Amino acid sequence: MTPSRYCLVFGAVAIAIASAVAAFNYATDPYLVFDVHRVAGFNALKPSVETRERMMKAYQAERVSARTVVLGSSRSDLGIDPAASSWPAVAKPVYNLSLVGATAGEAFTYLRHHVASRRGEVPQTILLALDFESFLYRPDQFTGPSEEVNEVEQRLAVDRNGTPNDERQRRILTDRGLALLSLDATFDSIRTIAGNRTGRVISLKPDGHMSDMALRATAAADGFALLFDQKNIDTVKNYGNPRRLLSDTPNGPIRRLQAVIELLAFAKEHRMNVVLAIQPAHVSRLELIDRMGYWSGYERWKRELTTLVAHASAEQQVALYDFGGYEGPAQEPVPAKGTNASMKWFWDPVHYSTALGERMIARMFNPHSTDRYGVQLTLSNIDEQLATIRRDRNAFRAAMPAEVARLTKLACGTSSCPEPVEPLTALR
Amino acid sequence: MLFNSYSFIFVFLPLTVLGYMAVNQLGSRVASLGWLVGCSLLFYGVWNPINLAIILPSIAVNYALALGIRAQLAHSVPRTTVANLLVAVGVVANLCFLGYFKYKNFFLGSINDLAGTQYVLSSVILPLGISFITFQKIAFLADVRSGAIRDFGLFDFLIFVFFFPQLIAGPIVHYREMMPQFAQIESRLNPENVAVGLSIFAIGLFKKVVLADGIAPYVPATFTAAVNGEPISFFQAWIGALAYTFQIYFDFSGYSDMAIGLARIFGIKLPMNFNSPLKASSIIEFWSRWHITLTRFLTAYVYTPMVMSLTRKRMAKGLPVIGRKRPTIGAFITLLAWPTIFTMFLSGFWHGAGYTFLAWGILHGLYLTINHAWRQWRPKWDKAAYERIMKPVGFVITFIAVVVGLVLFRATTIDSAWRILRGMAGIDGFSVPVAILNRVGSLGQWIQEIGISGDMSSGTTFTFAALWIVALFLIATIMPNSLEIMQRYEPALYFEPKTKQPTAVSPATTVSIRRSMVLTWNTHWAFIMATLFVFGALGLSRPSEFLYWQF
Repeated sequence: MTPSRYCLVFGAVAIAIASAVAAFNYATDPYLVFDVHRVAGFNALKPSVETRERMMKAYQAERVSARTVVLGSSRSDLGIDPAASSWPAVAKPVYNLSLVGATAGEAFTYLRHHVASRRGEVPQTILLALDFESFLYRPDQFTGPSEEVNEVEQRLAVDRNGTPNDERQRRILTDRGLALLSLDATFDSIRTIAGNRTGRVISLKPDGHMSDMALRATAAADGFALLFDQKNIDTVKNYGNPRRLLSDTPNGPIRRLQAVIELLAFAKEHRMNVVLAIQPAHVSRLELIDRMGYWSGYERWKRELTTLVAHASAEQQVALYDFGGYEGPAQEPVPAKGTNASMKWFWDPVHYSTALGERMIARMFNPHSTDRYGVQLTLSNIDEQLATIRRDRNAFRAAMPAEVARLTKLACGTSSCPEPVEPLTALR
Repeated sequence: MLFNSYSFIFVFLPLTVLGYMAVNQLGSRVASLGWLVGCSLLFYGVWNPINLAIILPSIAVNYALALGIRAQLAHSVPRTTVANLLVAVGVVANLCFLGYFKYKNFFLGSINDLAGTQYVLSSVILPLGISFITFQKIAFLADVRSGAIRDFGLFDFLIFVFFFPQLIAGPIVHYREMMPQFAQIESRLNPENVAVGLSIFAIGLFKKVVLADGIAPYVPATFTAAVNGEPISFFQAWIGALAYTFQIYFDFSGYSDMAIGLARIFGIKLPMNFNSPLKASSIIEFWSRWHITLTRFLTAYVYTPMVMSLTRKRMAKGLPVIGRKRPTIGAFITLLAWPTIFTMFLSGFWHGAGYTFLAWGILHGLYLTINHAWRQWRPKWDKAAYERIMKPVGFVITFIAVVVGLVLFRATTIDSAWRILRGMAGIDGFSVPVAILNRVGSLGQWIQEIGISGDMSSGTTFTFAALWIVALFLIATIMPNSLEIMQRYEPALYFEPKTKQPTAVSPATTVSIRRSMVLTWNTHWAFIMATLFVFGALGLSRPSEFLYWQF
C-alpha cells in the first residue's frame, strides 16, 4: 500500500467509525437530547442522570406537561414520586423537576424554563421542597455565576431576567453534537445499555422522578449504617470549616430567601398555587445541625419562611409545611453494621424514601388524609412547633444517650461543641 | 491554541495545510515558510494577542544580539571579548525576561517570608511557552558565539523560534538541527511525511486525551486532602501518586508525539523527546528517556561547561580528576555530585517557581549522584548475572524513585507532599473502602485481619482508579512507544530503533511480536491509527489542559 492510499483508508475508516459512534449514541440517547423512544432492556433506564441531570431535565422539562411541578434537591428528587398514589386526581399529572444539590434560586430558573417552554400549559401547583442546608453559604464563596452554571443556564428558554435566551440555540447544537460525537456520550451509552441489562442503576423516569434502584442495591450490599456514616462524615466536613452562613450579618436578611420571594411573585403572576415543604431529615442529621451550631439558624429560617408565607398568602394560594422535626420517622433506628435489615423511611440521614414522600404528599395535598405527619406552619403555631421539636429532641437524647454521644463526637471531635442554642424566648 | 482542541484539529490545521499546499504552487520556499511563520504567529497569538506583544520585542533583541556576535567574530581578528560580552548580555537579558514573568512573585514571596517584608504579589501574565522559547534563544546565542551557526537571517530565526508544532512546549530544538531541514523543505507535501505525521499525531492525541485525561480525575483527591491536612492512607497515597505519574507521562509524551507528528506533516523531523522512560532500569537511563531535549540542553549548556571548568581548575591544582579508574571521593563530589545536583536544581527551578519544584530537582540530583556512585563503586559481578538480577531490581527502584519525585512535583506545598509521602510509607495507616470489603466475601475478613481497615471513601472510585493504573502501567512498561511503532519511517531525529526492544518487565518478548507492532502501510494499521484518532477526537469535549503549559 502506498502512503497516499494509507491516508485515504485512514480518512475513510475515521469517518466510518465516527458515523457508527454517532448512530450508536443517537439510538441510545443517554442524555435525552434527542428524545428517542425508550426501549425496555436497552435504553429505558437513564443512568447518566447521576452526572448530567441538569442537562437532561432541561430537555425533559420542555417536553412534558404537568398540573403539578415538584422543585427541590436530590431529597425530593428521590422521595417525591409523581406516580405516588396519594396525589389527588386534580394534581395529576405531576412532574418532578428537582435537581441534585439545587438551591431555591436554581429551582426557580428551571421553573421559569418549564413555564416558558410550555406556553399555554402553565402548571396549577408548585411544590417547592426546601433544605435548610441549601440556604447556607460559605463566606468565601464566589457569588457570580461560574462557567459551569453559565453552561447549564444556556440551555434554558429564558435567562435570569426572564427574557428569551439568545445563546440557547447554539447550546442545543453543541449538546446535540457532543451527544452524538464525544467520548463521554459513548461511555455513557455503553453504561446505559449495561445498566438496562442489570436494572440496578439510578435512572431518570419520564415523569422526572429519580429512581432509587441504585440506593436500594447499595443499601443491600453495604448496609444502611455505611450510608449513614458516609453522609454524616461528609456533613461534618462540608459544614464544619469554614462555617457556613445564613445571612451576611447575624440579624441581616437571609440571603437565599430572596429566590423564594421571587418564585412566589412569579407564581402569583402566573396564578400558580405554591406549597412549600421543609423536608424531613433523620435525627442523626438534626443532631449534627445542632452540635455544629446551626440550630438557632435552623429555627430562624423556619420563622422567616413562616412570616414570608403568611404575608404572601394574603394575595395568593400558598402554604408551608414542616416535616423537619424529631417526630416518628426521623427517629427510625439505623440497622447496625453487618445486618441486612432495611429501613422504611430513610436511605441516609437526608434522603427519604418514597414511602415517606407518600405520607408528605397525603398531608399536603389530600384534605381527607388522616395521617398527622408534618405540621402546616402559620404565625400562630410556629412557636409551639419549634418548642415541640425541642421537646422531642430532649426526649430523643434522654432515650438514646450513646447515639447522641457518638454524633457529638463526630461533630465536635475532641474539642468542645458550640454553646447550646439560646432559650426560645430569647430568640424573639 | 491547544493541539487537543476542535479549533486546532478541525479548523487551524486543515487550513494551514491547505494554505501551505496553495502557497507551494508559487514554487517559492520563502513564500511557503512565510505561510508557516504567519500561521505560527496566529497559533501563538490567537488566545491572547498580548503574548505576541510581549514575546516579539524579546525576539528582536535576541536577533540583534546574534547579528552583533556574528559581526564581532567576522573580523579578521575575531573580537571574542566583545562577542562574549554580547552573549553574556543576551543570557542575562533572557533570564531576566523569564525571571520577571515566571519568578517575580516567587522571589518577592520568599523575601516576604524570610525578611517579613510586605511586597505586594501582583499577578503577572505568563506568556505561553516562555520557558521553552527562552532556552532556545539562549542556545541560539551560544551556538552563534561558538561558531556552530554562521548563516542565518531574520526569516530563518523567526521560523526557528515560532514553528508552531514545537513552539509552546517543545521539544526544545537547536537551530543547527532545524535550519538544514527548513532549507531543504519540499515545496509539495510528501505523502509519506503526511502519513507518518498523521499516525504519530493520532497516537499522541489518544495518549493525551484518552489516557492522560482519563486518569486525571483520580489525581486531585489525594493532593487536595493533603493540602487540607488530612492524613493520607497507604492506598490513597499510592493511587494519587501513581495516577499523577501516568497522567504527566501520557500528557507530556502525548503532546510531544503530536508536535513531532505535526512537524512531520510539513516534512520536518523534530528530535525525540520521550523514549519509554518508565521502562528505565536506572535513574540515569530514566533521564536519557524522559524529556530528552531538556536533558540535552542542560547537559550541553550547564552540566558539561561546569564539569570542564571544575576539571581544569583541579588539574591546575594537581588534584585528581575523574578518569578511567575509580575516582577519589573528592573528585567524585566536586566533578560529578556537585554539578549533577546543581544542574537538576536548575531543572527544578526551570519547571516552576516553587519550593516543591526545587525539592524535586534536588531529589533527582541526589538520585543521579547515588546512581553514579553505584556505577563507580558497585561490586564487579559477572555482567550477565548482574543484568539478570539488577535490571528488574533497578526497574523497581527507579520506578518508585520517579513516583516519589513526582509527588513533590505535583504537590503545592512541601508540607502536603510530606503528608502523601508519609502515606506512601504506610505511616498513616492502611485502609480500603468499606464498600470493597463488603463485596469480596471472606477475602474482606482476611484483609481486615492483616491490619487493613475499611474507610468511607468511594469503592467505585477506588476500583476504577486501580484499573486505570494497572492498564496504564502495562501500556507504559510493556507496549512499544510511538517512535518504536513508527520506526520504519525515521519518526524523529536521533531515534535509533532496536531490532528487539527490551522491556524491564517482559524481557522475554519475542522479536516476531515486536515486528507485528511496527507500523507499515497497510489497511490493518490504517484502521488502528484511525481508531486512535477518532477516539482521541471524541474526547476533545472534556475540559483539559496540557500540564506542561505552565512550565
